[in-house]
Amino acid sequence: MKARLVRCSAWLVAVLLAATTVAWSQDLPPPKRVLMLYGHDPNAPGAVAFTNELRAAVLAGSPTRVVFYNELLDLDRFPENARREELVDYIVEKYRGFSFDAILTDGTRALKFAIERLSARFPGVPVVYGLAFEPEVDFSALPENVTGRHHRLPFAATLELARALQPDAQRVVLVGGSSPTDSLLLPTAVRDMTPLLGGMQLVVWQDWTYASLLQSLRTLPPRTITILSGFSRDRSGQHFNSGDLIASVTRWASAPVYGIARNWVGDGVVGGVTMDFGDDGLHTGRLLLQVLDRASAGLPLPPSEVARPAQVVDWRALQRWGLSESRLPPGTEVLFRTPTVWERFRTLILAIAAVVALQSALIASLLLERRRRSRALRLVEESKDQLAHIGRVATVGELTAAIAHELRQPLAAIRAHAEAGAMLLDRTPSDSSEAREVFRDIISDDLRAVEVLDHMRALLRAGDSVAAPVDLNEVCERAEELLVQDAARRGVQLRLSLEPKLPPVIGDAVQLQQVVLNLALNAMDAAQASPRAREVVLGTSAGSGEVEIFVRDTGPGLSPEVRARIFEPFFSTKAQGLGMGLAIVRTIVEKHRGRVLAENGDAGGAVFRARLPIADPAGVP
Amino acid sequence: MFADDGVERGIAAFVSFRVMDQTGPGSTSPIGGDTDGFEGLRVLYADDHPEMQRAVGRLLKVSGASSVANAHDGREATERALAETFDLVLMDLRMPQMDGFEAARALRAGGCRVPLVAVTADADPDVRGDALAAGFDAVLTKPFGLDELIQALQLARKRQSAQTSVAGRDSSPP
Repeated sequence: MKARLVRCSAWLVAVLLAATTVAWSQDLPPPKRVLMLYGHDPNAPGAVAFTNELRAAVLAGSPTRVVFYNELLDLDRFPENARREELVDYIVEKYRGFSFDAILTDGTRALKFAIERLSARFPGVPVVYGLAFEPEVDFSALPENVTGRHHRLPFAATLELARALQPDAQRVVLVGGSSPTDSLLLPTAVRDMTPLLGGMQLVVWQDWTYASLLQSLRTLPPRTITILSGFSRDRSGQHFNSGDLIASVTRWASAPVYGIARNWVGDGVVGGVTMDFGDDGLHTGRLLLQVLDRASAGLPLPPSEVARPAQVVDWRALQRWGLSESRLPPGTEVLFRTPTVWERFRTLILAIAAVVALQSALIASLLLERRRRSRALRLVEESKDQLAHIGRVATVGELTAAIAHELRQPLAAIRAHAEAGAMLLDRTPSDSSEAREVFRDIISDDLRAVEVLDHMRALLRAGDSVAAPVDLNEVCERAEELLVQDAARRGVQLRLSLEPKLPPVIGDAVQLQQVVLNLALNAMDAAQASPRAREVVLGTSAGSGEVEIFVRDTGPGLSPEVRARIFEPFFSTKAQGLGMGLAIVRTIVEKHRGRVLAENGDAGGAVFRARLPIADPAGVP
Repeated sequence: MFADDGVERGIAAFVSFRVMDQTGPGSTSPIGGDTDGFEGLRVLYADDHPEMQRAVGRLLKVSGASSVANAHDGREATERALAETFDLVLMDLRMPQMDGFEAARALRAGGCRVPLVAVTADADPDVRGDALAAGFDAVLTKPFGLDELIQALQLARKRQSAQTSVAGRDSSPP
């Protein structure tokens, strides 16, 4: 019994194992084999991009493994290999007994080789082509089991792009290499571009060495469009991959350079309508996968495709050549745009600008303030002068009686003289010598009258303050001349007490006389009210570094309240007083850098003092 | 001819009348009233304005005054008027030290009966009244000419010779 159970379970396990093994192995179908024929140098940047994208696409898109078997035909450098039977034999021999699911070609030459020479030896194997841009094959008339992607040479479109960016261009330079492939492209380029030239001249450069090419590019004249075609060999036979040299070629160019390969953009060309080989690899890879799937299912192959060009420009090249982005045709991709300083530091710049603007505004407002202030100060000074003038006019008004009085004297004297003179001339014999005296006296009296008028005019004059040496004794004496009549009228004794040899001050004599007149008139008002002696003393004295004008009266004196406010504007002890006289006195004295004082005298009455600095011996106070 | 003669004589009379007015004693004044000009008079003129002194002094002299004395203030005027003899005292009202009013009062108080004429540049009408009240007999307003002087002189004389208080209204020249 037990033995049977063991045997049964062992069988069961074995069956299960077998089943899973079968199932397992059924999860791993056999890989597809692709023979890849490189016509181009596999290290050329375009080819590298193509291959990488192709492999990535294949890896990503296929659950089945795809294994590539690479053959490097090197047909660009050795185009004659395409005709050699030995090469075909070599490949066939190499892979004897091996079956491929597809043949993949890189480049038109390789395609041609595959179709014309190899397909016969690999019957039934579909051919997929990519990276095919050389115009060597009629892509519209390919055999049935051939499909793939090819590029149309984008010279015309690139020229259009260049023309849009450089509308003033007068010349197109087409640079091509000397290899067979290079030479293949140039006729197409010329044919495609000629209708678009307009007035532009087309020059083809093909006969150059690498060194001479660099030199020629360095000396390109302005208003030139330079378009690079493929260049893999120069005149001297030197081979290179054009993609490796773009940077060097464009670095020293003196005019913008455009190109036809996408992988050139970023190395220095401005851009162009370009063949994107990387993208080509991606799509070719997908096409290959489709081919592999369909072929095994017996389905017809997917149709061939025309690659779409990539219209791209390098933003940095635009900046280098001063080309305007706004001129670009629509649909152009702008690459390598570096953010400008503005874009990168926008916030910081704005912040700084704001601070600077604020500071500028502050400075401007301070300057404005200063101007306003100096203007205000000037106005204040003018107002002071005007005020002083008004005060003088008022003072003169007060003294009108005295002035009229003064004028009458010389007029009366002239009258008396004239009558006497007439009488003298009437005498027989006429006394002409004394008559002559009379006329002389009349003239001098007339001058006296004019003097009085001039004195008044000087007082009434408005105008800016004068700064000159002034003898205060003289000022007091002239003031006294005007005051004596008024004093007499009021019954007040006016006395002068002048210090001999008084040092001069710097100032305006008219304004200082106004000060004296005002103080004296005030003093006379006070003295007039006195029941006892009515006296006003007007005097000068010298102190250390200053001189003083004082006016003493025998009036009632100043109470403390009055004394505190006596020089205030609009403060008056008189019923009808305006209260400006002493305020003006203070303004004038302070303008002369002096000060005013009011105090009570020893013998009753008030004393007003104006102290002024002595003029510097050098004349500048 | 008769007519011409008459006119001529008329003119001559007029002229001589004027001349006599200036030079001769007791010449008729155009205003009427009795006498006189300044012929032979001794005059004291008090004024603190030197130009007035000079001018009026000359005028009086040319008019025939025998002497014209000067004083510069009220005090001097009072002293001299009391000490010396004058036929006429002319005094400016506004003078330092002692003004004309005070001087006039002092003179009258001192018994001086000389005709006193006030001279003033002040056109205030109150001044006239004050001056007369202080003792002046007439008031002259500067500027004045010889005619006004003569009028004032006559008026002053008339007043003084009346010896009683001032009577009637004085028709002093305006």
